[in-house]
Parts: sequence; C-alpha cells; structure tokens
Amino acid sequence: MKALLLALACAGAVHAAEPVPDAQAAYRQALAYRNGTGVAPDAALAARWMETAARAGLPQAMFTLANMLAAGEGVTRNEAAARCWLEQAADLGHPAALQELALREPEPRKAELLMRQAAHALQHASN
Amino acid sequence: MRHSIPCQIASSIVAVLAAPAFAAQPAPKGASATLAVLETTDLHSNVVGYDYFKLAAEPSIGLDRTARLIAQARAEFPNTVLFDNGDTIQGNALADWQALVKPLGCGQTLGIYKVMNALEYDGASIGNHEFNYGLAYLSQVTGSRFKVAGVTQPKRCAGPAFPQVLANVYSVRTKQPLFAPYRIVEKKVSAQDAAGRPITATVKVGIIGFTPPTIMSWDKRWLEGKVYTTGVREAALKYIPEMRKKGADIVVAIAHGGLDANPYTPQMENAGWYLAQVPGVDAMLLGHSHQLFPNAASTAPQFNLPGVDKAKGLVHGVPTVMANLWGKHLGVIALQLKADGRRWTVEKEKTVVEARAAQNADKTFVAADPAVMDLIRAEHEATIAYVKTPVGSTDFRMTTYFADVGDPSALQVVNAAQTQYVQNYIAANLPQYAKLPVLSMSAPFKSGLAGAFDFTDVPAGNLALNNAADLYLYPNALYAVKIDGAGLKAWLETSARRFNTIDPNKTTAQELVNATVPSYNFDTPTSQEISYEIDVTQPPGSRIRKLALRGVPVEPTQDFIVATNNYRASGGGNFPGLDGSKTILASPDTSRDVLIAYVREVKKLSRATHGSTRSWRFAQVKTAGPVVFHSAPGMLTLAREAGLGNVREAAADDGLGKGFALYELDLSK
Repeated sequence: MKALLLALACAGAVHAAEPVPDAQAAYRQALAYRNGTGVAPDAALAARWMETAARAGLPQAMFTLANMLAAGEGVTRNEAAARCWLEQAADLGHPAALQELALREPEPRKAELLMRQAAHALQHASN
Repeated sequence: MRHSIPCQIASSIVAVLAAPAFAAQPAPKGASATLAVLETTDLHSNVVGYDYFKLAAEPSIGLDRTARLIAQARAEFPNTVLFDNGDTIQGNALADWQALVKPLGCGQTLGIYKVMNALEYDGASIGNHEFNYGLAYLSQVTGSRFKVAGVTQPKRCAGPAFPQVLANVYSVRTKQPLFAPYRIVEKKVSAQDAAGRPITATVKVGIIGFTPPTIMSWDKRWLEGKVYTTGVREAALKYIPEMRKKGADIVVAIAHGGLDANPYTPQMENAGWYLAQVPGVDAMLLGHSHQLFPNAASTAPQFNLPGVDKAKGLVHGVPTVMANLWGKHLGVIALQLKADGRRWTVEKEKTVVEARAAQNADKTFVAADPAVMDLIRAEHEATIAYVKTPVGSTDFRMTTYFADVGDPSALQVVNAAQTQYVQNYIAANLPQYAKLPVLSMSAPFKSGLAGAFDFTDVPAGNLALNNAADLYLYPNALYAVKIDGAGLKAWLETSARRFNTIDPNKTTAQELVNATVPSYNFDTPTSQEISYEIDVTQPPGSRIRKLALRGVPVEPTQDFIVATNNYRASGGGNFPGLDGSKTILASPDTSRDVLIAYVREVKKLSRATHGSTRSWRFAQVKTAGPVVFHSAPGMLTLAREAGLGNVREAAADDGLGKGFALYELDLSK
C-alpha cells in the first residue's frame, strides 16, 4: 500500500521492473546494472530496478533514483520526479537526502533544521 | 489557572507517582470533564534554546519555549496531564557534558529532568536515544536500579519525580521489564455533574510506553546480551487489558515511533499504525520520526495511509499527536470524558487534536521562560566552557579563502585525520585491504556563498571543540570506499567541474569558478602520495592530467581505498560510481569526532605538517586575458603563506556589492 502511494506521489518516472517481494534484492540488482558488477552495465535496467526498489520503500534506492532522474541516467531527465523521490527519502530519514535538501535550501533556518535532522538521522541509519 | 506568575514553573515539585488504587469514589453517572493530554517529544536535551557549537542563542528550539506553551494550555484547559515521549537525555553538548565529560553524581538530577520536574510532568516514556550512553547511566539518571549484567548500583540515585514507562524492553537476567511497563496516574480533575454543577473527581490515566525494538542494533554494544525487546504490538496486547483490569479509565499509549504500513514484524521501528489498532487505546502520543501530526498540509506518505486522518489527528480513529522535535511544538489532545457511574469514557467525536508551535504567525518565537535557564545555568555554563576547551593548537590560520586555487590550509588536517582513521581501521579489521593505498578527500564547505564573511577561518592558536565544527561544518560520518584508478579519475573529474572552461586566447576577463557547482562538491586530496593537474582549458570530464601515485601514473584498474563521508559515499553530489556500492567502512563515528580525536592526539598542527601539502595544481597555460575569481578582500598574505605565488588582488571591491574582492590567477605560473 505504501509502495503504491509512493509511486503515485512521485509519478512521471520510469516504468518499474516487475514487482518483487524483496526490495533489497531489487536494489542490489539496480546497483549491479548501474555499476556493471557481474553483469554488463545497463543504465536503463538500472533505473527500472532502482525504481522498483524505491517504490518498495527503500530510502537509499529513492536517493539514487533521484540522482538518476536529475541526471537523465537511464531514464528521461525529470527534475520534478527527482525532487519528489529526494523528499521521500528524506521523509524516511535518509541522512544524505536530508543533507541534500539542507544544502539546497535557500532559507538559512530551514537549512539548519534539515542539517540537524540529517545529523540525527545519521545516528540510527543502517547505511 | 495553574500558573499565573510570569515564571511559568512552579517552585514546588508535586510528586504524582501513581498511588495504589485507594477507595476513590467513582464519578457520578452523567458527570463530564475535559482533560487535555499534552505531549513533548524528542527534546534531545535542548533544555534551553542554544547552539553549543555556534555558542549562540537558538530561539527556534528549547524546552524553555515549550514551557510557555505548556503554561498556556494549562491556563486554557481545566485539566491537563503532561507526558514526554522520549529521546530526552541525549542530543547536544549539554547532554554529552553531563554524561561523559563530568558524569553526573548519584545525588544529582539530570538538567533536563530538573526542569521537567519543575514543569510537573505526569509521566514519560523512553526513546531509543536514552540508551546511547549505556545502561548504567540510564539506570542512574532515571532513578532506577536495573537488574542487568554490568550494572551494579548500590542504591537508587536521583531521578525524575514522575513515572517512566516502557513495556517492550526486558532484562535478560530477570526476564522482567526494565522499567514499569505501565502506570496508572490518578489525576484530580475539575468536572461537572449531570446537572452541570462543578465537582471534583479522579480520572485514572493509564500510560504505557514503547521504544523501537531496533535499539538492539543501534546500541548493540551496550545492550547485547543484557536486554531484549518485544514487538510494540505484542507488548500492547499483553499489558493494555491488564491496565483496564486495574482500573484505568483511559489508556494513553506513548510510543516512541511513527507510522509505517509495511507488514508488521516484532522488529518494526515505527509501529504506531498497528498500535492504534490494538483494542483499548484511547489516545496515542508518537515521536521518533520528528514530524508534526496532525498536519493537514503534510505530503509525507506515512500520513496518507489508510485509516490516517492527518487533518483531525486520527489513526484508525485513535486521537494521535506527534509534537515534532526539540521542543518546537506541544502536542495537545483535548479529551472529553463522560462518567457512566463506574468509570470515565472518552467521547471520541468531541476530541480535538492539535500540535501547537512555539513559533508565532509572524515568524517570531514565543519568549523563553527564564525560570528554565535559572534551573540549569550551572550546567549550561559548564557546557560552554567545555566546548571552548582547547584540544590542541595550530601555528597557522586555517582558511578557505583560496581553497579553489589550491590552498590546503583548512582541508589538510581533515584529510590527515580521515586517512589515519581508515588506515588504523583497515589494519585492525580489514587485512584484505592492507596493501592498498589509502587516500582521503575533503571539500571546502564554506566558500563565500552567503557573503564575503562566509569562509572557514580558524585563527592560529588554540583549537577547541567549536573550532572543529568550523573545520568540519556538516554532520557527516566517516565512510571509506574502495574504487579503482578509473573511478578515482572520474571522482576528480567531477570535482573539477567546479571550474569554468577557460579559453586561453580570449583577451577579456574569464571567471574561473562555476558558481553553479557548490564548493562542498569540490573534493580534493591533500597528500604527497597522489598528484595530478587540472587543465581548465579542457571541457568538464577531460581535465585531470598526470594522475600519479608516488610519481607513477595511476592505472585504471589499480585499487584504492578513499576516506570520505556518508554523504559522498551514498551518492551525494552524484559522483560516478558512488552510490553506496563501494562502501567498505561505514563508521559510527562522525567526521567531526574523527577530526577532534586526531587533533587531540597530534596536539600541535604546523604549516609544514598540516597546511602546505598540495596534491594538485592547475596545468600551466598562458592566457591572453585575465582569469579571475572572487574572495574576501585583503587576504593576499594568506595566499602567499600557502605558497600560492600565482594569485594577485586585482580590485579590493569587485563591484558586485557583496563585499568581495576580485583576484586574478596567473595560469602560466
């Protein structure tokens, strides 16, 4: 249900690969295609698996997918969808996503708050 | 009204520990009462609004401001109960000072608990961060006597004057809960009888607390083999019927966690969505995920889940509040109670849930209650002295005014600290990498973005903890990645996007720095091991020349370990190949703490050892016109001291109105 809502919230991205029960497996697959580890590098497949993992709720996949959408890597460049996934990752307490939002925030007090949240999130991040 | 004097804190402390159920008369049938349940959460030791690294007041946070909101709510509602959700005793330099630097004596009450006692809290739960300083400390400061391995406590120490509840953490030794899983707080209330006449009655408010079971991995070193957790839902199903049986009129679940609709497991960190479905929960106080609930405007997916009404503050019909963090908000659940002659019940449809901000509509903040500072002034001042205590010294000024053109003075110590940390870690834990070269990257975090004052500038002299915050601005953790020579070159190429492409034949002035590429993404090493040139006449992606390790050209397939931070290693800045897949070390230590530990060890930093080693220079090229950049005026001496002979100050005012000077870089030198 949550995955569906996330997908609706960040529409306009790529078509995800077949849904898999294991988000971590999808994420590993995405990284393998992105970096060409054990398979031939394939940016389009990397993006599809990354979105599958992101839709399944993995914040680190959301963060990387945001990077890929912003750069048009394996997917049509889409700043709005990139921002959306970045915010979803931050909402789930991904430290680098919170830091990224802080770094981009023009209002100093808001930036400070986001940076402090990044600091806090780092204390119980698994990655 | 409970407090009418300007200082909102009552001087007397009223113990509200739940008394054994005495023969209190039940409220007469038809009686009604309003009881507002107030919540603070994730205070993180922000007793007063103060930033201990900037050494400046921070009006947007602090229990000293929430105290005003508490007083207002008590003035507004005839009856209130005040609970804290947890993550209370850890999170800033004040907390570290009390726990680690000058550990609290057994007879002393922790600063934040002193203030909470004075604010007459009725109860609290325990967050995950309460465990950060270990079980012995937690046992001491909460006035408990944990029966767990490693905790020997001859007597009960000073602690909070209110009950603390936690239902899902158990001692391995005794198989008993570490804290009381629940308490029933008997609250005297002003009510009306069926005819509307004022009466006094008692409401039995049951509180039960939950913490994320994930504490077992987050604080493994303190907890493994000593305590164990159960799932939040399991604990609720076990104890809530018991609370009812013991006479609780209402049950308030204080869960240090947020909402998550993924399939439930006993390890679930944010179990609020499932907890609300356990029968018998009348109100839910959430925390941990640092969000505001209710919040009609929120786009957070957790607040758009089925059964969640983010405008009214309901989760599966249970009135629910989450009061953000650091005392920025006060959660308020105004319950309407009705008596049936035996007990009180909640009239759910009449309940109103709000999270009230300490920030006013005009962006100002409510005034701090000075009584709070009065209570912890000694601890506060001692913390400031601690933050100012020298950990070492430097014989040179460490700045970023010329970092873009090669001054390593503010970067080299960071790289040195990171390199040493990773080398030591590999030697102790990762023998398979023992032969690989260890490099380190760091970037100038402050390069004039906010104005000519906005550079790193640490004067020569003593270095204190707050200077470490100047030198390492961001809240990162030290990470290390394993990459190959091609990856290293790609990393440096991405950094070199910091520069515009310079046309050597152009006779007009050309800007060196591409302001759209932030300085924090200009990673560079500062070691004698590695050397390269940046050729700014080439387009982005083709600028790194003569990349060599100890003078030998780097092979694309050659492996390296690079010390960096979690932001970069997990994909921040989207550097090629850095997406978490190359990480070989995700340290629990912050980059700043690594730097502090290094300075403590080295003691004296000198220009020769920590301020003059450059790994890179610009490829030499004669340009027909000037190549210019902007920095603070009057700093040329610093460039000279850093050995940069190719820079001159062209104009003390660059004419752009932000206080910058115009400097010229001679690329032919």
